[in-house]
Amino acid sequence: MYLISLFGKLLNLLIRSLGLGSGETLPGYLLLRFFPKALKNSTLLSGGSVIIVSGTNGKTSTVKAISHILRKREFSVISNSSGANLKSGVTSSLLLGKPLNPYKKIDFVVLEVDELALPSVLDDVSADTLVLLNLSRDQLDRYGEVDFIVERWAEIINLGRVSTVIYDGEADYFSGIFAEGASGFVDFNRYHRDAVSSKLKDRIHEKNLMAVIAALSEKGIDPAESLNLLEDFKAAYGRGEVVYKDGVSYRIFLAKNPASMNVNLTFPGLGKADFEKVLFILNDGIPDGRDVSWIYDIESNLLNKFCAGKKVYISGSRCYDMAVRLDYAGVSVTKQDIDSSITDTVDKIKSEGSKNVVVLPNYSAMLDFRKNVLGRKIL
Amino acid sequence: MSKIVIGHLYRDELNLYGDNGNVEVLVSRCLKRNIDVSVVDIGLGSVPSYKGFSDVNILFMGGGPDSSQKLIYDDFLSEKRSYISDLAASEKVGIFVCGSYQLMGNYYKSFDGSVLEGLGLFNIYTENFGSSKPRCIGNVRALLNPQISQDPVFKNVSFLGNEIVGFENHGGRTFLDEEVTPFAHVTYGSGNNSEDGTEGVHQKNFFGTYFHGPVLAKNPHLTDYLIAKALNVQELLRLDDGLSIASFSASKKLR
Repeated sequence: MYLISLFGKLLNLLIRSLGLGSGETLPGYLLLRFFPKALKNSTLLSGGSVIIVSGTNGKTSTVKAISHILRKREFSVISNSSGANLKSGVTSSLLLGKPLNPYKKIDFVVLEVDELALPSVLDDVSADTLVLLNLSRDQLDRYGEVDFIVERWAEIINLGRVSTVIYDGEADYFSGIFAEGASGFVDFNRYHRDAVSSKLKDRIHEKNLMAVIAALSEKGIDPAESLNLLEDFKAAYGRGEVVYKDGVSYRIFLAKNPASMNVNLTFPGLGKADFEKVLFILNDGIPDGRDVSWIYDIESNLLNKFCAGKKVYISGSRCYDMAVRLDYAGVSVTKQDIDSSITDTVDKIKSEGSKNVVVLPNYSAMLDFRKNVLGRKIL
Repeated sequence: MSKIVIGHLYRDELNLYGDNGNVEVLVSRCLKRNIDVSVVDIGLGSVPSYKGFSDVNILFMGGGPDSSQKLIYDDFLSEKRSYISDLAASEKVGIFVCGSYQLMGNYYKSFDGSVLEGLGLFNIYTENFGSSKPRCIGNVRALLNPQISQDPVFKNVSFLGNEIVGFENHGGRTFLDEEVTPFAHVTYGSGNNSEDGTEGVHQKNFFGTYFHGPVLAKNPHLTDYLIAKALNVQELLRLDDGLSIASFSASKKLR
């Protein structure tokens, strides 16, 4: 396993240096290809206690915040911070994060896992703590229905491969499956007061923050300390992070499904005066789902309020679908501000003397935008 | 007196793929023309004899996940049956998308052999062949049937020809009885069953379709046709549809 890990690291270095991508999936993919049960091998975990985060929206931010606190407490942590959350990505992160010294132990392994990949990951890895965030309709052409995922989740939890489940007791789809009070189940809403009083609203969604506090509380770190350690926490990439190019500040909010878009449009950390332009980017790539009908599940009045008095640009492979949707929501859109090319759109935004732009892209659109503005897709 | 009253069946339960956007688009296109428009919710447990329902001239029903369709199933078959049949008989407009299109047929046969009775207004049936046949999923395009495309009203209002575009996503395959008219004929994608080239069903002014997008957002010419039929007028004021036309042209190239 040590040699394989070394090989993985070299492969990752090669992929990155050749500019072929972040190299965060291929090493794991190859390992699983030759050893399908590789994740079962506990040496891959380097002795770390495992915390898994799953759900539709907020996984990356939640993992980032948990890791942030643990590291500040001087624990050693491996996590898949780039968001590669399928089985191959999880395996890669473990390979790449494994210390070069084979005797060195890791304290915590913090992983975000895709909601549908969760059963197959938990088949191989026992988790100390499982954090289940929200579930909503996402990428319907790939995923099917929320009910289906809840059923799969209930099945795996009944297998007893998880010691503690942290979940949203206010979500009706969990009712009857998890019971607060039963041993091993923690409704994260009990930390509502702590989360509400914090000054982190502009960097992490309240519910996700409750989940973070709950997970660490299980590890003996009390809520006040967690919040303290998060003071210098920076939003995860594409989750309210700010990037600059040519004097323009772009604040990126990943908006990949109706729930995440509606949340972003009402984000408490974003004031009306903080931006004067909005850029929507809608793609229909495989990671996004080919079906873009979901844009009609975004609440019209939220779109309308958010864009009122702002200049709106639209880009991405399905820019015209987004334009029509905005038009039906009563948002004023002009044809000159719609262009499928992100490069051309960014040029136009710059040439029109912009200062603060809020960017609302879906998944592959966010990667494309970052590539354009930062020269790299992820970290 | 030109007035559109949209009856929205099971708004809260049946909205799987942005289907409720269809109602938003109908409303918006009426308002842009200063046509008086209102929406009445026809939900679970609501009584069709309620007087607001008798004014409905466009009925809309979307699709939902299995659990939601189970939730409305009894109410739909027993409480709403005669109301829906009466609207159809009096040539009101109705549009049924995906799951509700299937429920309007004679029956739905699951891959385990169990049969779920439908409303039976459309002489069609749907069968799910399980994993032996792939799910019908992807971008789809079709030509509207000649009854629609040759209708002088359609010719007056359509500014996009007789093609429609959308996205389909269904496991069940629907088959039409011989005398039944399909809504359209697919030029790209699967349509009803990926075998006979038909898409949806058309009966008087009732339409069933597998098209999402939502279908009335992607196809404003079809939306306008439904509005004109409901108002019983020959033509409609032309709107500034530059964005819709651009979106429609882009959709024609999707694979």
